[in-house]
Amino acid sequence: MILMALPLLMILRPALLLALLVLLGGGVLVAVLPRRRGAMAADERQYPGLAALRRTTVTCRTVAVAVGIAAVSAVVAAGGLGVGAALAPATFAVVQVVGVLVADVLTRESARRPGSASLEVRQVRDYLPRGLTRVVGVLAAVLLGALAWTAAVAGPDDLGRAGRALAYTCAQGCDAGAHTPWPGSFYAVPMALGLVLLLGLGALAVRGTVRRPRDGSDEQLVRVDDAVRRRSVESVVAAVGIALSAGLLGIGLAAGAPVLADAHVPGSLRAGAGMLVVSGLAATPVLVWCVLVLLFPVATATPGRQADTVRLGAPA
Amino acid sequence: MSLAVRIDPEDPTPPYEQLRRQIADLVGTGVLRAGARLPSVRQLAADLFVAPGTVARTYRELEASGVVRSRRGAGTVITASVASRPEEARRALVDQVLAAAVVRLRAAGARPEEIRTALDRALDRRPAEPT
Repeated sequence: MILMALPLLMILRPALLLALLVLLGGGVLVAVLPRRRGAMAADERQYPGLAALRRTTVTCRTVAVAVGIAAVSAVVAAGGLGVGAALAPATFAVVQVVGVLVADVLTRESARRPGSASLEVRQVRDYLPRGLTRVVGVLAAVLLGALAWTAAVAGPDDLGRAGRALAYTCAQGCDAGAHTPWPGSFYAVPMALGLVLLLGLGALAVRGTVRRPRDGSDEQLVRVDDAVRRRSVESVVAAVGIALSAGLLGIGLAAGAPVLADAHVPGSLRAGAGMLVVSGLAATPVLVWCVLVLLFPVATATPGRQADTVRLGAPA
Repeated sequence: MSLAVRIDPEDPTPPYEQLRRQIADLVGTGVLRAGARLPSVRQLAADLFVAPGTVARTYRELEASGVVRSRRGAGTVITASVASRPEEARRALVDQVLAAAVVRLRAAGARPEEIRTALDRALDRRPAEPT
């Protein structure tokens, strides 16, 4: 039913698409933003290391967002024929993950007291935000499938650049045609390489965050430090989510929508293009969710988890 | 109960032995039970700020005495054999703790009769046994 309605949507596309995106994004904003409250606290006089951890983490996160925006601008300007735009989401995400890595290196000693520890076993899965991680996993599979299909059906453009156009022939009543730009290998390969780099750095950052040493014998320190670790890991997952969802949205709008709206394109290709559009629309609320998680870093509140409800700062 | 471990730089006992003793104590008192996983060598060494070789030797010593079992990929876990013999473990714990304390006190110049008197005072001050 959605696929049947989409051609009409494409004809009226600019205003309706924008309205739909705003609606989806706004819905997520209303649902998620009130939960992003300040959390995590300690008596910073008693734990100066944790105070430094908080300051450094916030600084690195802020700098990473600013640098990420600048990097995106540079990549978009440098990449010709839209390759820069295709790489922009992964570029932004990589910078965010590097920010987490830098923060981990700078705060390595913040929670450690030499000679004192606990026999705790820290594992990555204890710090991953479950819901967000599952959604990002699904996004990765969808984007991989989308790029595989778009690359498989792509052909050379009018100047012979391989994997940059979608060529088709009509059954009757029209000439053969082509749509470009199309995310064939010309765009899909750089995007895939960017995502592989992002996932590798992300795994490194998450592992480093979980392994950062600490004195686990101090319960108060563990409580606060665990919240910081969860925030950092959540930021990495959100950054990956931004790259994947923005990629899907871009493919859906830039490639899928024009093909879907073109009645001359054979039905099978239009159906595929329709799936690209649907995937892009479905990825929009995830994109908003991930941006909120990144910009309002609060450990995902879990009912009854005491560590998430403490307030950071000097006691009153 | 706490799984805290500490390396005392003032203790003449080597760090690996201090760590081994504390882990064995935790097993002997039932705090660490059969099947419980210990942190990886790297994680514990980083947390304590000691060389990985120190923790590795601790785990080797514990494995040699049957307290733990180490498998690549599965980590280091407490074996059932020791944890299920609390009486034996408790006697071994008493021997270990007192032997280490005596070594330290003698190194500080304490005489045997002083140590015995202090031990008697400590036993007299002990909390009531649970019924």
